[in-house]
Amino acid sequence: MKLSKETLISWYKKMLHTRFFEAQVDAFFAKGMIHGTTHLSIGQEAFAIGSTAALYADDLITSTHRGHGECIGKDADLNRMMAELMGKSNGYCKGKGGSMHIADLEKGNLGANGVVGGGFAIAVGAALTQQMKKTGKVVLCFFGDGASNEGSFHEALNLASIWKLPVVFMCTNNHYGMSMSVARSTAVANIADRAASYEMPGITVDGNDPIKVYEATLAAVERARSGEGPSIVEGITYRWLGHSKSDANRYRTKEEIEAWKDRCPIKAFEKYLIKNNVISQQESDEITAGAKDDIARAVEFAQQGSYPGIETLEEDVYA
Amino acid sequence: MATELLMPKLGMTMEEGTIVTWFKKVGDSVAEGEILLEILTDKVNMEVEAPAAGQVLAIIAAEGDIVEVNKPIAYIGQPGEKVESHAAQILKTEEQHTAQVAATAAPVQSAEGIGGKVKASPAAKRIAREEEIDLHAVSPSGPGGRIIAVDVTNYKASPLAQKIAQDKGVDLAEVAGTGIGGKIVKADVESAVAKLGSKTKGARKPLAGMRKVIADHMADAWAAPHVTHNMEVDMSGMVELRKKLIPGIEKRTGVKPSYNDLIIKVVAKALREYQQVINARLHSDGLEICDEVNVGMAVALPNGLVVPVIKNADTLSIEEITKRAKELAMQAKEGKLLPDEMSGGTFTVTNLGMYGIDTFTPIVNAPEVCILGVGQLQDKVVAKDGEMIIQPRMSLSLSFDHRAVDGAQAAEFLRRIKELLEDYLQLI
Amino acid sequence: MTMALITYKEAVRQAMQEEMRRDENVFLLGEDVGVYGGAFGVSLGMLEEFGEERVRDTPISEGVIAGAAAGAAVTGLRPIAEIMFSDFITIAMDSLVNQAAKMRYMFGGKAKVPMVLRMPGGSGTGAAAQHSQSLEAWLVHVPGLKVVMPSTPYDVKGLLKTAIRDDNPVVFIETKTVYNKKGEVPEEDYVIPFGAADVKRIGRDVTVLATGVMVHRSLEAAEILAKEGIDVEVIDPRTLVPFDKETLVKSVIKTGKLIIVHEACKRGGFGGEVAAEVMESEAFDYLDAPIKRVAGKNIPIPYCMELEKSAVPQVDDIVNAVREIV
Repeated sequence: MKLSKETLISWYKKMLHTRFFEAQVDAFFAKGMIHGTTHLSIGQEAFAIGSTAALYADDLITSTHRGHGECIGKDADLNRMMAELMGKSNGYCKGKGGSMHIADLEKGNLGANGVVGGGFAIAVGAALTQQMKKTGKVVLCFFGDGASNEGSFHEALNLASIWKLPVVFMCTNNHYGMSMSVARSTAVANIADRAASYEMPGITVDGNDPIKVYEATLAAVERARSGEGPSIVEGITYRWLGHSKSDANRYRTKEEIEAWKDRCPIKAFEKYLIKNNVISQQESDEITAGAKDDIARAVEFAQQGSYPGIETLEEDVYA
Repeated sequence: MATELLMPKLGMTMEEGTIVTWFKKVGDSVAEGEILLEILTDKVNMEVEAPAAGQVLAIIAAEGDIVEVNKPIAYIGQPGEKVESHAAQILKTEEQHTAQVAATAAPVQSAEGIGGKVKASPAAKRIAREEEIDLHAVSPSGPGGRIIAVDVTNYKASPLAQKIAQDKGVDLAEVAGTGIGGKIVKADVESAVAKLGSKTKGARKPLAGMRKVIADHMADAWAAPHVTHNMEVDMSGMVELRKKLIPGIEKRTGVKPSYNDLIIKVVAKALREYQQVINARLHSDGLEICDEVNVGMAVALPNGLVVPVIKNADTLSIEEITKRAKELAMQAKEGKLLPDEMSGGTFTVTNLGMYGIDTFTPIVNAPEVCILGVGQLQDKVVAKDGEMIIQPRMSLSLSFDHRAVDGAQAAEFLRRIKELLEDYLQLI
Repeated sequence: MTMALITYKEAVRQAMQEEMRRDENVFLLGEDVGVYGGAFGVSLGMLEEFGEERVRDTPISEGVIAGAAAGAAVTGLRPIAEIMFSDFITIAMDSLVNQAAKMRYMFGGKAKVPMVLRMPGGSGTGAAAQHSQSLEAWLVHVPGLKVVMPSTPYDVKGLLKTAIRDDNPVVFIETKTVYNKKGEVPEEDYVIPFGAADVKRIGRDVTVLATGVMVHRSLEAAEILAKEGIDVEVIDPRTLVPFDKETLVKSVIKTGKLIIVHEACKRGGFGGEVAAEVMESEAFDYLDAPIKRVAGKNIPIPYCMELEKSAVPQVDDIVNAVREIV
């Protein structure tokens, strides 16, 4: 598959944005500037960016509690993302949603979700709209390995299959549902194996390779768009950091974490781009520096924003 | 202290009484035991004596008012003495009682709520606050000894004002008080009534005492399916009989037998003969065939109708019937009938002849099943043996409850009465 | 206005049909709503008119029925989802409570979720503990949801139309024991606004606020009490969220007494909420007796019909409660 230089650079940039955005969030959280909890996807950037790259701008996604990467993949504004995490009124949700609820309906992002498995039915409903209104749009439904053990997974996949809805179920398999490994929690080796129960294709790819993710997703998206129904695309990847900020990593070894860090999706992609003469090392350094600057600007934007006024407290409960 | 005169409770079941007549007015002096007023309960009129000597200080229930038993109707005391409100007096009594209990026993919970707080509904508290009324002084009528709104609105009005307001349907909460401390007095309620009155046509008078009883009774009786048979009777024999009887009976009893007395005698005999069908009372659980023949006689009074009963009429002579009928009629006119004298009837005779009525449709006096209406006695031209003759005649109207009595049975009974009236020898 | 005498069930169906004719974005989904016509026959004949696309049979998957409705709603359709018995809302609770109800607020006001979740509620069919509940209080508790509980054919039609046109998730609890009760309904298009209680009977002595089938029982009780000279005002709030506090407060100021009647268990029931609203309002100072709740016993609904009857308020219970405080 021939991908243009611009396309590949844009993926690289988005992966860097995701990495630096989350690193900044991690730092701010440590300083108490971001509160609640936050789930970071450092190490998983290739799956989020490679998959969303297979979409048109007006296609849709539903995301998860660990959804910053998909958000950035769907062209979210970094400034408004950062502002939202800092609880500012210029954030995506006017400071009322935070990390787990960033949504950008104009860009087809139907929202991250604080409930594991909470997005399946919404994605199916959104796909139903596309089918009934014949929009030709497709919905990517992101979920983690752990969510596939929720009842909603099975209800939604069954319904999507019998109605041949234009939805692709995107499993970010990062090996752990919080502390419980896939091996311990799940009866099948790969989440994609579960597709067989719903008479849909299921494919497992290297989730750290954005090109492989892109190719698998594109095939599934095209199938869905043509009316043939849903698929599962599973990317195998790894969450470097803890599940959330309270995680002491007791359930896995340092060695395991280090081994996956050696397979850093961003480093690997940089190597690929340089090796294939897409960019030079110098260009890579410039892109990296630019991405860091973008995050610094986002921080500045967020810091300049004001906290939402108390008068907004009871707004937007009802339309 | 002024003596309070309460509506007396004159019977086990008496709940209220109607003031018929005040024989004294405010300012009059009375002796203890002197007749002060007349009251009416159900259908009995009673005279009430003054409980103490002195001057009538206040009359708080007017003629025609219906008053619950044991509620004040007047105060008697020394000239110039102040009349305290009923509520205040009750409170005083309670206070005395509490004090007595406190003096003789260990400390007790007061009639009030916990910690000396007054148990009152939020509405009662609001009114008390607005009207600056101390709730401790208000007596409760709500469940569990709670002061409710009406207790407070009543408290701010004098008993007389309360009484008028209740009778005239005035909401005291809407009335501004002009008395001392904003107390609502009679004049305030009367002006409120005047305002109300200007909106309505004709004042409404509540049905009271006898009228109320009659109204209820009639409504019940009307539920029975009524049929009336009419029949004309030749009264020549009765005219003759009465003429023969008058001198002796008048001499012995001081009264003359009336045609009605003769009719009662006839009816009583017929009832005994037709006991199984006519001498009966219909109840919700069945027909009661009565052993005694007790004939009621309707007596019209200015304010209604009473039916005193001549017990065992079939065993009485015409003279005895005459005597008993006159006694009962007199008592009825004076409102002195005892309840026992108005109950137990098995049949009723009602006579409108004196008003010139020929025939009418009387309503059965439930639970009895038949009633005989008697029309006027007048000379009529009738054909007899092909010739016109003049004869004293009278119409009888027998109404019966068709649930209990068939048309033919009633007709037979009426025909028997006619026979007896036309041939008095059969009475012997 | 021309009136037609139709059943409650027909009124529900007419509301859906008329709205589906008016707006092509409106559609019905749920278990057996198509050829079967719905478990209670509410959607009978709709498949023939609108086809499988707009009268959608779903698998037995309440979670995805409610969730897909939310997803379809947030992307531009106006789904009516039927949950066969209100008891099964438990299975759809995440979709409804964590997703549909929250989207608008947590997304900063950007989303609209115009969906209706219809469900028959209440006891009286002898169907025991899992098919007879009145769970409205749970839903009333969730900000972001509107909760409607119509008692008559006229109300159910006008309110369902409003629900379908509303841009929020609306839980629409149908009173299953009155599905076949007839009432007059205008033939012309009409809607009933949310938050407008209906005074079903004007009275002077005591206010009875009742919901669902209890509206009918309270009206029956009121007629019995009228013969005793007690004049009962019966108020049907019709929508629990939003709640028409004003009408209730006015009534309580007039009568000074309030009895709340509902079928749901008394503990944690909507009646407690209503009582508290009144206590906090200006009507407090007009209360002349403690507020009383006549509600279901705090037990699961039993199977035996006689026991079932005793588990929820009957006409006599309402009559007695009124007598106690008047």
